[in-house]
Amino acid sequence: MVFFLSQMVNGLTVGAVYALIALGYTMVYGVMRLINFAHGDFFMMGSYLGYTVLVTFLAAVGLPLWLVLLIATAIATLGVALLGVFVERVAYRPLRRSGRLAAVVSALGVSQFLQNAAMLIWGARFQAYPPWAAPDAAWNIGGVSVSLMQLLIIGISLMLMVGLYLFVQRTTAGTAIRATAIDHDTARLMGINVNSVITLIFIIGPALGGIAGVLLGLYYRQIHFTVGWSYGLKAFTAAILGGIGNIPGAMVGGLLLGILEMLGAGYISAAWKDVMVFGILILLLIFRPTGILGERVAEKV
Amino acid sequence: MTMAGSETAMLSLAGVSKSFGGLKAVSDFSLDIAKGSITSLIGPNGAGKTTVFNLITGIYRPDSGTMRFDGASIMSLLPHQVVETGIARTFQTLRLFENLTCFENVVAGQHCRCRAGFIACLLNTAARRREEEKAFKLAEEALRRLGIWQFRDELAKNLSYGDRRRLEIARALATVPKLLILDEPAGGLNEQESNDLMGIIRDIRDSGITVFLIEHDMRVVMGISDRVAVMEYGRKIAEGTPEEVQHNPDVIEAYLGSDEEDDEFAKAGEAR
Amino acid sequence: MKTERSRMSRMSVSANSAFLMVLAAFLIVFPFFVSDYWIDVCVFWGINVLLGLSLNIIVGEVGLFNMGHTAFYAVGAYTAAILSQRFGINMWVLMLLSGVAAAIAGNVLTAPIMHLRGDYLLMVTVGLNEIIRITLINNPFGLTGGPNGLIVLDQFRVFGRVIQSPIDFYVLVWGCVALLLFALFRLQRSRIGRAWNYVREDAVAAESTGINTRWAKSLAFMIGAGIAGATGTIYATKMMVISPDSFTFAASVSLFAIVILGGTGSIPGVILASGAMMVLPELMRDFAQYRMLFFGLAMVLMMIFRPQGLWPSTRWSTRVKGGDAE
Repeated sequence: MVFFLSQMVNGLTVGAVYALIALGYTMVYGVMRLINFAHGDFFMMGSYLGYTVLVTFLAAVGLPLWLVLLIATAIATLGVALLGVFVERVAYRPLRRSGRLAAVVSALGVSQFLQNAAMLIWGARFQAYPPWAAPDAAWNIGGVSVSLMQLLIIGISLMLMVGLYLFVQRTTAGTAIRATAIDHDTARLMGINVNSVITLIFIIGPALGGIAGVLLGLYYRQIHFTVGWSYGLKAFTAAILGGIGNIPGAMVGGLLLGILEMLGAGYISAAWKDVMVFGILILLLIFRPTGILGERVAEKV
Repeated sequence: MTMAGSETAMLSLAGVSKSFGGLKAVSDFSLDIAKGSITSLIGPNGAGKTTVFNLITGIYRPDSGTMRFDGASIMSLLPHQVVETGIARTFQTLRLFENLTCFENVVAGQHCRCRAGFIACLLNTAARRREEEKAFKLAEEALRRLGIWQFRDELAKNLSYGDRRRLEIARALATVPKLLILDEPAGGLNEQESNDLMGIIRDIRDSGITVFLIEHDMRVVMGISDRVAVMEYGRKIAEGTPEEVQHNPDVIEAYLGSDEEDDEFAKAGEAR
Repeated sequence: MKTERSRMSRMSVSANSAFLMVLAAFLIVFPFFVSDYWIDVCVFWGINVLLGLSLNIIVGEVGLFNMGHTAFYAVGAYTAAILSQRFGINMWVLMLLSGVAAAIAGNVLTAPIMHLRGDYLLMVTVGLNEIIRITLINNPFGLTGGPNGLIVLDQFRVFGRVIQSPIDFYVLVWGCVALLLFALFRLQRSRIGRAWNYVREDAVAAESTGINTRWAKSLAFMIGAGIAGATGTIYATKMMVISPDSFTFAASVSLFAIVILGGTGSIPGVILASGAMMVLPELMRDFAQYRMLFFGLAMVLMMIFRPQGLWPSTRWSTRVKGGDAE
């Protein structure tokens, strides 16, 4: 039981990270019907930016830790959001009328570019977040170890997700996003600036990915330029699991996938856990491509 | 109501229904299409006409009912198998192989009549070459029949709209069908072009191919049809000769809801 | 008047033939003037051409976005290594067997996912690639040797001559390329090649014109995977050690980039792009580490400014000799 509960806590933690990344996939997909293959790399860039800010600029300043972390996260988030907007302008917008596959190839190109840029900037080896950066408090609750970092990740993610949900449901900008997701042309007729909506999506999605990147860096301490794809693929699985295009779906899918992965690793085999996750992706796409919360839509011939 | 599987029916649908979610797109639809006839299916937009075509051609599977073609059930066939049994179709919104030449577009129709497999193609066997020669000849005939042989080496996307419509019909004819299904063949054509089209459709019928079409242009429908069936809200509300249908009170009622269709209907009546 | 029917190529096809002739002349003369090192570089170029051409069948001819092609290459290489180690089977037989094994894998693994739309298929094939690689690392039943991989000691033999020097491999690899090109020309000009192109253009229209799109897709996957598997055997005997590190997702990405950048469906394009991928880094040492950065950027720029690729596909389109007047 103790083992089960601690795997649940671990699962919720990685699941929260998956959910944050999955939101980026799902929002871009919802509005543009594009799988943004570079999204995992936004997450990776966030992780590296946070690392650089912590190591280079804040290590010597002597501010309180919480402020240091806040500044690092803010800079990483802002940097990735800017990167997201830039990538959309340069690599996706010119292709909006050229068919989906051109945009897919372009997204792959962006992904390769970002990965290799990260490798050239930060090196091909693993980089480690400084040990002093991550709060190391932990509690033992009935044998189950829960660290402050885990609580922070789960808490921050939930806050962000609820915030995003309210933003999309309650605000004018959120309504514009939902309208654009249904039909670009109609939204345009209603006076919505579709380009601004897409820019907004490319601020929010990458920003959430950037935050997830810093949180994950603090949690696992180690980062590598290839984490974008491994986490990206899992977050994509989470988005599909919840029903792609569906914001609550991404949250549920992320948490569920994290829990499944950790239970699988704990009870079946740690070496095969990634195989299980990708197996879930394949089975989902075969049997229920609309996910848990997605609606089944007949394709018009 | 028509009886399923009557002797002279090329295609007979009986009690066919199809729902999407809660929406009944086609309900309890029955229709017999006589061998060698031209039958039109008309009705307001969203009446379920194209769905009927998609059911016949295997793109959708009916929830209930039976569909028999040339004496055999086509209920569980995949679209390409439906073509093999002898039903060819065109689409309401053209679906050509845009980046291939017209000739290649039409040769596609002969694919299901050829048998060469991987090994035969690799070794370029004599049987493969003979079979291909025959396929090319039939494709040529189809192109000539539609009067677009001179465009054979043009890419499909470079043709004018009217010629693209013809190309799609040529591609369907190249499958050597017994039944040709046309989804709004006159859509977007001008008067001259639709007159030519009517000639082509009659010519196809006279060569022994049964024709079943959806059409909004009442001049075309009344001009060439042997039988007309009318759909509304997924149901068949009338069937008969063009004259019978024109004077059927239910049909007039159905068309009164839409001014435009009503005008066309009236004009078509005057034109006859 | 009856006309004689024959398939003629377009004008641009003569550019293709010219390219292949220049390439052949270059490849024949080249080994006489360079060191073994450069011959080896060209051996790996040739291996990548084989892989690129095999992926081009799937991506270029049929338009199926497969970004896990290395998985089939791995299945071939490991089949050869395992059977050679345990049973000492002749390498030529193994080349056939590993091709068949990879073709079966290609058929079985992709059968349930073939209907998926382009971008979804791409994600799933990435997943498949990872599944295969992790399986190799986890050493199931002690077959794959785990992260260290397997050693292959046997070599190809031709009339008693062991193929092991760079020039031997050079002849073997480029001989295979020539054979493959011949086979591809035959297929492209047959109903199979045409069916692939119809499916790529519009799968719904193809199906409604009587083409069994499932058959066309699975045939492409089988042939593409089979060729990649057979190439795996050559790679295994060349390297003498194979390990999961050779079959990563990154390798799949660069193969995919080769096909897209060359101009999907274009044979000269694949040869040029894989040459750029393999040979440029050798020519310019500084280029090596910027390689994928450059190719990533090139993919974006190409989609915006030149979507048809480096050497746009000039299909051997089916034509009828038109001597007759209308």
